[in-house]
Amino acid sequence: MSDTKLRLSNVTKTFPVAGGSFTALDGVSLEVQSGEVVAILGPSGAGKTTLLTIAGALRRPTSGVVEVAGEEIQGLSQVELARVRREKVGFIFQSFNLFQALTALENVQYVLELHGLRGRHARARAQQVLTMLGMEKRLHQRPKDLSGGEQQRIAVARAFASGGELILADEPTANLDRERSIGLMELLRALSRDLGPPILMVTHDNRVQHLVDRSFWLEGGHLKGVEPGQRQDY
Amino acid sequence: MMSITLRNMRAGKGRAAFSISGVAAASLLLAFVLALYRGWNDGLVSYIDGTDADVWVTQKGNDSFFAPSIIATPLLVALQQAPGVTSSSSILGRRLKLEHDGDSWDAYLIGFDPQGLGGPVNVKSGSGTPKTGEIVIDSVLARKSGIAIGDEVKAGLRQLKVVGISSGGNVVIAQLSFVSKEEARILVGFDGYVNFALVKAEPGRTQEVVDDVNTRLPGLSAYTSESFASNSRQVLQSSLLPILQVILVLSFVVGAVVVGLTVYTSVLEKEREFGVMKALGTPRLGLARVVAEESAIACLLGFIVGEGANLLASSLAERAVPQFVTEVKWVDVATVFACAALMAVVASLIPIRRLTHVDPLTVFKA
Repeated sequence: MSDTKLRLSNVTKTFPVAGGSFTALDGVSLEVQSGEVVAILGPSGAGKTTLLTIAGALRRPTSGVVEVAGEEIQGLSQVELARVRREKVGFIFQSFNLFQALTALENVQYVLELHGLRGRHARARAQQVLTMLGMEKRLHQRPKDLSGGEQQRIAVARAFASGGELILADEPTANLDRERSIGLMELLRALSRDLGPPILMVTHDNRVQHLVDRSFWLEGGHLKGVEPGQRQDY
Repeated sequence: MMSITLRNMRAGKGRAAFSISGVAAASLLLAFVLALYRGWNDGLVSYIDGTDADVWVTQKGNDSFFAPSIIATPLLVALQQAPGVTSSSSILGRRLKLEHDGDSWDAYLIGFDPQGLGGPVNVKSGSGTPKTGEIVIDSVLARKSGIAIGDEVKAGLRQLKVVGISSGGNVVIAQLSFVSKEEARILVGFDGYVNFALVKAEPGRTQEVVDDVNTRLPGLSAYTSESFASNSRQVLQSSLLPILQVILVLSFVVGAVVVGLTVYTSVLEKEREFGVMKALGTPRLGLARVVAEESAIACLLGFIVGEGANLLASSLAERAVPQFVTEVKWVDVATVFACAALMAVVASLIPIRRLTHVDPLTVFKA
């Protein structure tokens, strides 16, 4: 099996706007390998979320090739895109997006059941992952009873529990203070290293640059690499 | 599989309760109307069936218990001599008021031969063969009027002593009361006529008797007991069924709208969560299942509550208004259940359609 879990080749995404079109991504190419953590930085409106949604099989590119865990997605139907997301991608959202009616355990169990794991097996696996993230005492709490950091851990557990081949994170540190941000990044690195799936994150937070393996700068739809040790400020 | 629906409903107890109450009210109304209809329907037919007659004979052109029928008594002789007839009886019937202690009640009085057919079908207490000056009243009339055996009632100019109470004579507009034919002649006031003739036929010759009477005896119409009961039921149905059907349709619509609106509101409120489900790759069927389950659970619980309430309401209604005779049949329980299931389907359609418009990209908004 290839080590490349995400491949974007000359990807362009345009949106129709009044009187013409807007190019959010313009010839973007990127590869993400197993076990690495990659950050896409850039100002608001740079196209970071567009890139993430295309990488996550939520949108198709206007042109170019997108390969998620070995499967090209640009020609897939909505039903097939949903299958790719379900089977191959784990998401960590900025605002956690946990199901409020479900407990921490059930939130993780939900994606496992989407993967076909049933009943007590799904429950046991969810418990195992949450315990690994230090949430063993909060298994039966609902999101409203948990802190932001704890909710983020459940979101991380949900993303990794399903055994997807690629983890996509949208501004994962946006709602966390500095200390918790560093803690989360260390956790993500450790999970990626131990469990295998690479992490592609988009973020405003340039503090994460030195905590990832590679970082890229996206602006005006163009992506360029940031050299190690070179801090990109904006 | 873990049910996200149950968790959502538990988290939104108020809305779930509203939804269940809506279906329960609709199910109660559906079940109650059906039970009432059965009670009335069977109340009427139980007398016709219970007379043990094989053939009912009426004045030519009349086909039911509710149509006025006058038969000249000489025709009864010809009827008695018809081939296949083993015996024939006749009854005199008339609607009149029974008075007791300053109150009055509608009753349908039937005069019958104590040795013949047409008397009370199920005597609950006292005698079933009243003599001149005596009367047997229906149990529904007894309950609503408080009249008991030994009491005296006034019928027209006659004072009659209640000697028995029978059941199975509740025909919606009145209850059947029974007197001897001699007493009926005094009350009705004309000789030489009866209203219906009831015939026992030799085994296997019922249809032959019917055909013979219809072809050979001008002025008479004959029906098998089953077809006469059916015709009489039809009279009741043609007047009551359209009203009942409107009530049933309205109940169904109300139930479906209540559940549909609450589920739809639930989808709107949880649009972001449905977006998350889509983003995580939940198949369309899985999303639709969440909505369909909510409707189905609300409808199932509503059905159970509604049916339970119906048993209670029927019992209370019968006590408060004795002529409200209700009867719960399994087929009607199944009908209400089918209606509740259909409500769940109808109530799910628009919310499920709404799901297709939920954009999974909304999950990226902070």
